Amino acid sequence: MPSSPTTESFPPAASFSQSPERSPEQSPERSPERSPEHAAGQPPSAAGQKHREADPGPLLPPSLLAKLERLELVSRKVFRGQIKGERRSRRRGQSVEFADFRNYVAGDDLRMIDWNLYARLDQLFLKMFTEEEDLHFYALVDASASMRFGSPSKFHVASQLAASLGYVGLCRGDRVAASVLGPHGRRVPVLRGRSQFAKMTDYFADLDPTDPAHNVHLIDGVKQFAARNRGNGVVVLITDLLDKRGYQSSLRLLLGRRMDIVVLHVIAPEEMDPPMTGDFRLIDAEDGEAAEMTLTPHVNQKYRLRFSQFCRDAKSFCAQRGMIYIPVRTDVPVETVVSHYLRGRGVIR
Amino acid sequence: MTFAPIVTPWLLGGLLLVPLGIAALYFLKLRRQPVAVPSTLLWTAVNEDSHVNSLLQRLRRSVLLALQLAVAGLVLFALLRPSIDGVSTTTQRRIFLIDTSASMNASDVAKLDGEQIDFEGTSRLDIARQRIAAEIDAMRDSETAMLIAFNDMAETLQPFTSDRRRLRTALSRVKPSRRVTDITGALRAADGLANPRRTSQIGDANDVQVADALPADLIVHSDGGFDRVDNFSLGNLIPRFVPVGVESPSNLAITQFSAARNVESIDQIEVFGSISNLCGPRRTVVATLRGGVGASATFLDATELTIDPDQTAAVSFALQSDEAMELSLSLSHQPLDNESGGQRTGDAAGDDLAEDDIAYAALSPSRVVRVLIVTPGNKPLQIGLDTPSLSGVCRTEIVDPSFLSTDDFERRSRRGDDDLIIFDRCGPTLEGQSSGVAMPRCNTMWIGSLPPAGWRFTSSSKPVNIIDFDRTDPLLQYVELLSLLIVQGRGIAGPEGTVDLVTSDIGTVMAAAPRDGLTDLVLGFDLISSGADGGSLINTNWYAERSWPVFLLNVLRVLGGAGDATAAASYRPGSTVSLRIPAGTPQITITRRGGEASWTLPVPTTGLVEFVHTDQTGLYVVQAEQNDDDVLQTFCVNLLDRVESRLSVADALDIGYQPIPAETIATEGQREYWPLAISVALGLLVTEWLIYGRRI
Repeated sequence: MPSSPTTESFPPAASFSQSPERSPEQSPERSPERSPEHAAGQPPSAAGQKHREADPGPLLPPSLLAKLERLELVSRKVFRGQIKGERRSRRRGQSVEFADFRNYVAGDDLRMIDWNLYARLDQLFLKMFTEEEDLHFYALVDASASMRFGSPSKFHVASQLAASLGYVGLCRGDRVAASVLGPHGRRVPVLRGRSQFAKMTDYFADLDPTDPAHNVHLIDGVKQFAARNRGNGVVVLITDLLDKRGYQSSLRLLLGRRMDIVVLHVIAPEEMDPPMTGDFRLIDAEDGEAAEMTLTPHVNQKYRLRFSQFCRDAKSFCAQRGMIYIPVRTDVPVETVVSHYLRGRGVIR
Repeated sequence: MTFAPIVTPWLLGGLLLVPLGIAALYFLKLRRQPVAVPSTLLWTAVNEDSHVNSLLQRLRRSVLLALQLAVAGLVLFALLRPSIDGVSTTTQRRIFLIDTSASMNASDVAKLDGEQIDFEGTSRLDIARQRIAAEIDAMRDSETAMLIAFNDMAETLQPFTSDRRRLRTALSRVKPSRRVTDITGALRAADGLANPRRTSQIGDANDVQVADALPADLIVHSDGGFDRVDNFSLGNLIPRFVPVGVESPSNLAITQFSAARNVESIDQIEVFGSISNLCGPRRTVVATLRGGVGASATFLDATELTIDPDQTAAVSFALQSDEAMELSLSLSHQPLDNESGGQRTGDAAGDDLAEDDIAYAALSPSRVVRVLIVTPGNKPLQIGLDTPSLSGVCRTEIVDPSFLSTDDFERRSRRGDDDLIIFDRCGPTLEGQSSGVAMPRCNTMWIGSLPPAGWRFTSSSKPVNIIDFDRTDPLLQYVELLSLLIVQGRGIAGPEGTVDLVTSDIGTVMAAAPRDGLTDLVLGFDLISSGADGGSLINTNWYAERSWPVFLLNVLRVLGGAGDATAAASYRPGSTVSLRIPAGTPQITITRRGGEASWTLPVPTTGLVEFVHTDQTGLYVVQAEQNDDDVLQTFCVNLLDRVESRLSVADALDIGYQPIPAETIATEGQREYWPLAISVALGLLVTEWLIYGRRI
């Protein structure tokens, strides 16, 4: 079991920091847009100056991909697929696994009649088999401005997680859709098959994390997703849950779609343990709202308690509704997260 | 509680705006460094936790504001300089009278410990000064005060002012003196504004009070060692007597000291002294007579005395010398060390006033008074001067009145060769002298005639019946005149300053008048008169009286300077000493023996020098030049005052028949509260900072 972020000890960070959101494929001449404080005409913070970091490398290392090929997405629910797949379906189909008998009614496929039973009982029964269908897997990545913080940034880690899980699904022939919340989620390709993994990585590589279009509320992004995808399936929501309109309504919406929901709560260590003291005007990266604070050890301690409570609330909310809640720290390698946290919580096996 | 703000009212009004400024600043935002954060969601929640969830948090911010306002208020309170006065005034005006007489030099206050007195000092004057300083500090801005120092004279050190700094500066100028006490002058200086006078135009119906009376508190800091004051009315002055000193001081004093040659045997010197135990227990003291003053003094004689309280013991020494002598008598409570030769005066353990433990006297070399008698013939006068007592003192020269018109007389007159000239029924005239100087530069005595200027007869020749005469005048000491028979005489009147000595039914018949430091004694009647036939007629029987040679001896002593021949004059500290300097001396140097102080003064043509630097007791020597062995004159300055030496603190003063009881409680100094206010403010500031450190 992964340890709770509130109980782990984290290395102190120098400051709140934003990380570059350039993917390995991002062209060097494509400079990211200004950070919110730049846009507000304020002096760049130390975190802002660290915005341009070195190229973090490929989204997923080949070694991780090799490990992922042996894994499989787990769905606690049985959903209807669109095509034949490797997953059992609630529907009766033509697999080899017996499901049930029922009386013959006019119009049934005569090929399904169990003639042996008719010979014995002189009644027509249909022998039904379980249908094996594919799994709809959705990886929803929160790309709001708050996800750009951390080193590596929360968005980068979220992208890695989404790609990892998507790769697992692709390898198992599931129907995989990995996208960010917001308008860019519309043009996300639905992928099937391992060969489509490149499209997925291209999708994340082409995303500009500083694009203001990504900065949507969680509920808005989820609504758009729900409007586009009516089918059931497994939804992995990778977010920091920092939305002033709350995350609860978003999860309820997904829950109403009868989806198997996994919440990966991405947390930057700086968020858990604010490193600064003094008089600051804290500017919200998402809406630019300013909060004047005098950060003292006492205040920081209260913030830490508040953040822990926030995580506990999220975990409790998810547990009460049958959702899987997994906190993910950005300073923990994705490989560890996938192989330990996700496997430990039964998201993959 | 009084306030003495150290800032002007305008500035104080401006400072009152400081709390408002603090309250305004409190709502201003701090200049904060902008920092981007993923979300302010949780930070805002933390703030809300502090603001909403806890009433204490809300109170905490209010406490900060309250603390800051309290700090500002306390600082303003401190600027108002709050204090509690020890003594409050009934008026807005104070007059401080500080006694600087000799008795205020007593060191009895050193016996007091800290619980009995709030001040530290070595003398009564120090204590009085500090008490007045405390009262000055306790003054409000609206109050004014005046400072007068008095001993035998009054000096207004600071007129009415509300400037405490100037009052303190004036107080620092108060110096101790060895003078006696007379508060009358200080009272008159103090009541100028409290009791305004009229225009003094007698009979003027419109003569009204020229100014409004301004009552004032008259605060006398003294030991009360002076006589009652009767001829003064306090009027609008509200007196307070702050006694200075302890209840039971201890003091032995030399109250008399004199040395004189025996007139009959001028090489015999008799030294007399009186030593009084004026306050304190029975004491034993050693009185030491030394020759000379200071380090060069030589031991002459000593005697040990045991004196009961309020008793006086006399000491006498007999010496033999016809040379000039300088003597000092000192008291010592310890066995005398003959070898040391030094003088020990007073005893810190047993005597509280050192100034009266030493006295000085001096004897000039014996000399004979030169008397010139200008007379057409006066047998009674000659008989009187030929008595053995007088002939040993003076050498007379009798000349005819025609001598007055000679150049020899003019020369003698101008040089002042004679100590006394007696003009019998004659005298020099203004027209008779070529130089225009009629009067000789010496004392004169006129019998039946008048000095040429300033004198006149007030009546015709009539029989004279003496009514009264001044027995206290040195000229008439030991003289009885009421039995005289005077056949003819005329009343006389002299110039300004004339002292009437003998009063009769026809007016004054004997008077003395000053003249440029000299004295002219005039008798309005003859001793003998000329008859119609040119013979002498007896005009009075005085020559047959015993008082006649006594009177002549007094004249020789007082006017002829015979007294100076035996003993140097003794003056009280602060007195003005008139010195008659022989002609031809351009300047003189006066040196105080032992004190190493000297003054060089020019000698005017009159030959009279007024010397005023007599504040210190001691032996003063007058010389033509400082290192000249020829001593022109010697005089002494001694305290010799029983009133000053009696150190007992008066229970009350009696001024204008109004008793002023001594305040039993010592003046309590001003208690300042601004340091406490500042301390509390600093404490609140620290508290405010600690709370601010935990503030959200």
